[in-house]
Amino acid sequence: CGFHLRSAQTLPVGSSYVHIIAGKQTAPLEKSVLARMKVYQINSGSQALDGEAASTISVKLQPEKLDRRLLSVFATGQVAEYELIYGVRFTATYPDGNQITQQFEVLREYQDDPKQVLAKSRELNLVLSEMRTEAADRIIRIISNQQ
Amino acid sequence: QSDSAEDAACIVTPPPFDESRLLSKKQVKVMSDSAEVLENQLASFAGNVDITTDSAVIHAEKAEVSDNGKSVSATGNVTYSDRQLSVSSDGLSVSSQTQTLNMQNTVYQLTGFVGHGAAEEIDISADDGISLKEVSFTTCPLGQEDWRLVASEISIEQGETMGEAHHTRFYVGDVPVLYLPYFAFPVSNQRQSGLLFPLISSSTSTGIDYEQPYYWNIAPNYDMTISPRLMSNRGVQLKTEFRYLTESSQGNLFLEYLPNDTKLASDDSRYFYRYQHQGMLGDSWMVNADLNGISDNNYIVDLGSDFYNRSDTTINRTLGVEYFSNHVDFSLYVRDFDTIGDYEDIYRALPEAKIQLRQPLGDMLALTVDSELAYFDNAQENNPTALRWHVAPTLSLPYQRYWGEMTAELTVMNTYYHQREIEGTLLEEEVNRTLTRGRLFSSLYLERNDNLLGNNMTVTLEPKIQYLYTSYEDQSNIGLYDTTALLNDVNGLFRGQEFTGLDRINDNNQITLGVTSRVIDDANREQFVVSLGQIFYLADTRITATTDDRNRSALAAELDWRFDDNWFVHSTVQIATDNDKVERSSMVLEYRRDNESLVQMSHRFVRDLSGETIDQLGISASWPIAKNWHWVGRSYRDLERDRSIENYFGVQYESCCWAVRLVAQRSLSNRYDALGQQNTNEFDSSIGLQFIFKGIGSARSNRDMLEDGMFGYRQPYVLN
Amino acid sequence: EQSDFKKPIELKAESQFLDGKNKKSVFIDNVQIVQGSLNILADRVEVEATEGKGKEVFSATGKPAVYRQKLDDGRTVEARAFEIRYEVSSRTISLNGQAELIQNSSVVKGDSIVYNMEKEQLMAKGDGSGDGRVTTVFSTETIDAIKQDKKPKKPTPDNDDQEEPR
Repeated sequence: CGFHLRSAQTLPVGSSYVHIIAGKQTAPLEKSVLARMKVYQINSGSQALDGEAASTISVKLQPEKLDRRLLSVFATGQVAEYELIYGVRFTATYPDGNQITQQFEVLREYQDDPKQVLAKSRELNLVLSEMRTEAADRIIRIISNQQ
Repeated sequence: QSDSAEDAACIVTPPPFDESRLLSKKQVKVMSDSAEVLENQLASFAGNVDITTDSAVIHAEKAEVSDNGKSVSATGNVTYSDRQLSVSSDGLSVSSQTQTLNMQNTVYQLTGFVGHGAAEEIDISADDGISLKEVSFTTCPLGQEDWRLVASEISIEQGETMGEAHHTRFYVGDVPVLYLPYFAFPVSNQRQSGLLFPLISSSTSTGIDYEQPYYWNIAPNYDMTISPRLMSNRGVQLKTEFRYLTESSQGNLFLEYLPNDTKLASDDSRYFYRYQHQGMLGDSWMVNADLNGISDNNYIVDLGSDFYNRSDTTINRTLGVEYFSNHVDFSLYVRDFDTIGDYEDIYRALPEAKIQLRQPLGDMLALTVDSELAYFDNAQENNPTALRWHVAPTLSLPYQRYWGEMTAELTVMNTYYHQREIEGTLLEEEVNRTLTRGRLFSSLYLERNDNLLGNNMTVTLEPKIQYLYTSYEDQSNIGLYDTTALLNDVNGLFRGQEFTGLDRINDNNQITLGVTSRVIDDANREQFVVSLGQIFYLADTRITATTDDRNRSALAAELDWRFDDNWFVHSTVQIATDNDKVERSSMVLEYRRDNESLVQMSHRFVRDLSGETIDQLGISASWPIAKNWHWVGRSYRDLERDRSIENYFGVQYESCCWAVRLVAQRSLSNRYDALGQQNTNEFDSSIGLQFIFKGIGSARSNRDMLEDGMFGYRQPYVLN
Repeated sequence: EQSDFKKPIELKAESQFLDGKNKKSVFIDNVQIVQGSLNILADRVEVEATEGKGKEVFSATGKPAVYRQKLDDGRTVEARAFEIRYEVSSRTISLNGQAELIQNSSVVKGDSIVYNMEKEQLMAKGDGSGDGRVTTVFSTETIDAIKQDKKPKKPTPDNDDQEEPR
């Protein structure tokens, strides 16, 4: 029915290296983007390759944001379910000088339980790292689909 | 609320100053109809004189430059404009002794900002910026000054985004309504985070509520905002915010203190504090602090908070340090909590150290060692405490390509416990648990280009399959410290664990199947995403979060679909396949014409969440009525108990430079009684009136009504 | 310098002829007038000596004609224009037609400039039309007063440009 294996997640023509510029607060997101870049076999790193500037895409990650929004409450009015909203914003500059700034949000549902506060904070970190992996995949797809 | 939405008379933000008109370095150029120079001392120019310097452009009928350009004076409807403001005045003079430029009897307009007004005198100097004396200021259009403030002096420090006014009288129309000895307001469009203009509102909980912030610009990299808040029902509260920024760290300290709440019988004080710090030590160590404290359970419900929603229950107190490098991640955290409500027996990690070592072996294999050492203490004296040391080396064969992934993993998990104060429980003092886990995971990414409804789309098909085996060991002699059941939605099916933390590791011998399909448009937006997944148990699991035993997990599915630019549906569902009963479902249908006009309907159902059933319907809408009128409505209903949870209705009239908002809301009160219990059918209702002076208010004072109230507001999480 | 005006005036040119009737002598093609540090270069110079010695009037034309002189304190003054009239007795020169006078750190351009060398006084007039106006440029260390230098920015928590609800 016409399905074929996904073609290589190659970078747009004329670029061969992705340089991730990250500030202090984006170390975790930077780490997961670099890890996913390895999966997609895209040559990348957190330092610029000297001499490669002509074919480097530089990606500036803005500090990540995590908001929560109430979804439902218990009979007492206490929070039952939250929506976790992980906000990502980045700017990619291509060798030909063209620049794109994109932002998107990754959403997850999360239940709170005041009796298990420590366990819930651990679940939050687990869900957060899964959201970062999904965000990294979307960043890579956006960067490599620019013609 | 973009300006263009209102009538055309509103001032559109003036364009920023065109720097290309300036000269390079220290040059002054004068063009005039005639010029006269006397022995290099005095040069006088007449007729349509244009003076350009390296920082400003001046026009006048006559001008004089004396002692070789040391001082300049211009007369005859003089106009002056630079990066910060443009001024028309009777006369202008630059004196080199005082290094100031002085203008008399002026009318000014701030550059790139809607603020404008008149001033008897304006002085500009390099070090202390602009000072306007006997000045009026407004953001309303000329001739329609619905409000203005008049001050003896407004000073705008050079490069600052804040104006500081002294002896300010505030006029609505021509009626003086307010006197402020000192007051600060943002003079650039870059929204200030602090609340900087008096927030005047009323509510049944606080009565008339008047908060007046004072901005104290201590130094270029730290400042303070002090806001006394007068509440007719509760007395005077002091809110302070201190911010600092160094090149390696940043942080802020919030203190809110209400000495005596006149509405409550007890006369002990009520407070809230938050200290946050994030800093680098060297270039790979990071320190994080997020310490919060609150005086009583009803603080947020009664006094409101910018950081917490009234139904929040957890107040974080975390302090930690982290280290990142490509092979080693290390973190050491103290995680303590303060809970709202009577939850005294919570566990805290004092401290919790985690380390992960990653080492590739050749180019096919990889070794990862995860180890944790933690001491769990309980807020209640005689509850069990434990020291836990966990080591889990994992040997993995990750074969990952862009078209798919085949990964095999073998993990040995050894956890040692030393538990104390375990009398009267099944727990043992020393426990050592060793489990092994094998995992085989494979996924494929298939795609094809298709032409749906006229535009070319990419349709993807992403099947996943996972076999997981974990050995069994009885764990009833281990206490539950940081472990509870995980929410198992479609995203969590492949985690292979039903619990957070390490105190329960469930045995499994199971196959998980999952598939995701997306339709992506050429602008890279996901128009349609559907995911399905289910776990098939090959053997009964003995350690499980759910009580009933069955051979298949619930079928989990998630759907996101954007019909066209305006319609959008999001739905998740989990069906227990053995009895076809829905365990969890959520559905959101939204029609969005633009940011101002949208209608959203949502329904949520959870069969059993901590012993309760959630069955909740919500409708939320925001729609403009007439040109300047706008309303927002929201109603959430608990179908299980057939009663409303929150009803919110707000209507706002907005003109060019001010807005007034009337908000009526009734919501579940979730107040706590003295024993820390909440009764389940007490409601709070309040009518609120809010005045917003556009252009000089702050982000908080004109928060979008959509985000207001219980179900709207987003709170920021601190990421650490 | 002031001493220039006591020195004799020399005149050089490729060709020269006398117009006895109106007592004018005319010099043509890269004419140079020198008097001490003062010198004028032009394509054509007419000299009227009707008032006798020490009261001659030189009117030089060129594309442009150039006048240069060193002042007492060592600074030099230079001027250009299509027509330069030098009246020795009143020690003034008047420039007409895209006149330009450069005096240490300031440059004056205009349609006509009258410059009294003794009192260093200058009068300039534009021709009334747009770009024919008088332009004076001071390049000086003077107006530091209104020079705006940049200070470090305030600690706004998120200088992200979309509104940040706290």
